[in-house]
Amino acid sequence: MLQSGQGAVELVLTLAGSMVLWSGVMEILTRTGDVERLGRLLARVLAPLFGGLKDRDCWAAMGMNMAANVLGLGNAATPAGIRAAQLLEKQGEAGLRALAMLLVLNNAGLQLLPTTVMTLRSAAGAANPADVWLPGMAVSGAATLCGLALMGMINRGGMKRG
Amino acid sequence: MGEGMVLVVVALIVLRGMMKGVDVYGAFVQGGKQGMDAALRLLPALCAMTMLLAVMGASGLNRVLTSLLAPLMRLMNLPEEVTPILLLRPLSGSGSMAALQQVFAQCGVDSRAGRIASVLVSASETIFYTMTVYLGATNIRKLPWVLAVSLASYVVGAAVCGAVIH
Repeated sequence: MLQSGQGAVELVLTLAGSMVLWSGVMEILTRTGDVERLGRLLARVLAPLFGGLKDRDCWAAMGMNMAANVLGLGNAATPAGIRAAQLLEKQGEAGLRALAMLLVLNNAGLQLLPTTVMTLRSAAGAANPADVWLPGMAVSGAATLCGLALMGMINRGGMKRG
Repeated sequence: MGEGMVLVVVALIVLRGMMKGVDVYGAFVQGGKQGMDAALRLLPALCAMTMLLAVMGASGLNRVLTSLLAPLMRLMNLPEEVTPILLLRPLSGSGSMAALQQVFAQCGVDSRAGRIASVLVSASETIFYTMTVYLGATNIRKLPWVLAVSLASYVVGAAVCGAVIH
């Protein structure tokens, strides 16, 4: 029992270094405006999946949320996602459909560079901590496609909402 | 790949920042502080989850859940040792991290179970937590199908994991 506390502290120390590094590096990319640019790109590419949603503020928040998620920026993804949810709520039926899609995408967990798990693997002495990268892309890619397809079909069917 | 990949990504981002005239060092330090805060905030939950896993193991609950889910795990070609991760991952990020450490300790980080556990944790999301946080900020009480679709996609992902990792 008492050893769990010690184990947790060791785990946090293991992770702290990589979390500092990654958050620091990503702050640079945020300040160049590239995270926002990626958000706009994602919003444009994925627009057809979100039905007829037009509101610009909604799209800005949704794009930011998706970009931050894909880049593994938990600190930025959550506030953007909350803002998107609050804005979409005011957009009626189309907004709710878009929010459902956004949540499904979030929940599929697609992340380009899973630094946390790579750090844990490295600390545990893995021969090649990044060898799980490609299978990871396959797994979260499959989950993303599956979620898009299912939610897309449901949204198209015009579900009645309570 | 591996260390090299991270090095290249970091170098590219720093170069990009310099090209765009960003105060690279200042940005890194400020962002790094956020990372440090996030790591420290993780500690209590991680401690609780490590304890929970110890209790689950000692009480035999782990064994019960593992044998209950054994047919499903066999169907997806996943080793029994990752059952706790499969169950915890959608509920808790720190819980699945603690469970991942356990699999590393029990089976080895480069074993098939260790690699599958790594992928299950890295390529998924805390589904229940995300929904609570995002919907909790609105007056929407229920968004039909989102949870079902998300969990179905998660299981599909897990099956892909069992298929692609040998």
